[in-house]
Amino acid sequence: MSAIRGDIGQLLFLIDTAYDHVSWHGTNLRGSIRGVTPAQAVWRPGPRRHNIWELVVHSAYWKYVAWRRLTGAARGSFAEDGSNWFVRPKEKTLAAWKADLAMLGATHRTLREAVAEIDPRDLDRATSKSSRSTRRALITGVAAHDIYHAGQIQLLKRLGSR
Amino acid sequence: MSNYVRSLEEEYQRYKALGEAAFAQLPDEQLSVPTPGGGNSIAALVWHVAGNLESRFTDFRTSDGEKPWRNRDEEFEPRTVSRAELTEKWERGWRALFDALASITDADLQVRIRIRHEPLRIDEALHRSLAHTTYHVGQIVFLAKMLRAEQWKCLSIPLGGSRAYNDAPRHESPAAHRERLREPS
Repeated sequence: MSAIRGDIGQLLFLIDTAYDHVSWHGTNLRGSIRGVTPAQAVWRPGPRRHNIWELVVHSAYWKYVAWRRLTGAARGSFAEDGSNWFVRPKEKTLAAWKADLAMLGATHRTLREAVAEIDPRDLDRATSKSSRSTRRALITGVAAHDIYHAGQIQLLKRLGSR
Repeated sequence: MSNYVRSLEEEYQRYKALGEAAFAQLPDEQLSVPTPGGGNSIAALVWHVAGNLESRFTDFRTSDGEKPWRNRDEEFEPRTVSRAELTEKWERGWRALFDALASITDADLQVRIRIRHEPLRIDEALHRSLAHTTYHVGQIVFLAKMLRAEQWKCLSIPLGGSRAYNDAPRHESPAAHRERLREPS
């Protein structure tokens, strides 16, 4: 493990490069939505297929879930009712799109604050009594999830521009 | 203790299973169909992911991760492949990765290796590789979903199943997700 960063620093590096820090691997989640317009964000490749906007809110939701599991916070404090997938747009406006982008940024910052506060000795303990997932696995998983959807957003942008 | 290496390996295993669960839903002829507009087929993405993994992780501590025998551009060329060929290529790439992971512990993460002559630590190389792999697996899943359309079977939480999922967080681990993906439908 890095003597410079330590375990927590390593995990912060992982989630930050997956979200918005310069990364070696190419486009991260924030990079994939940079410059995307509401018109691009609502385009669907077919019926019942997700659009970019929905992928953004879905990613925010799972950052929120990770934060909740790390902190033990009660359910129900996400920005809106529901879970996992949220139909978008509610309003096809630049303001609505920017509001969801801001929510994504806010959930990331809240998550990284929670990661920064973890006692490194707890990283390999389960997130709760009923969970099989450790804090370390949860955080690693959130980073991978961001990149998984960044790849899909890049694909959607190309398909939608034809 | 190799907690960090193990957590990365579990994520890799999750995304390997996701890719497999996606192309398992497709008839053979759709494996090689280009994306609308002439983009990459699932076969091309499989060739690229597997080619990258095989090159990066074969003899990864003693030789550069970009092997002289790898032809990256060729990975993206249109190809028509059988399911057996696709599976063989896919497995070969992942085998190189998992063999490499089995050979290291957290104590090795500071060791320097080289990729395209660039020195970097093993932990940095693993981060970059996991990100690259998940990025393209996301695309494989999305393309398979497009191709399968209404016949697509959900790989994550089924629509309407979020409450049950949230009530049973034991399902959230990468290993549990992987096992769920491998269950016969």
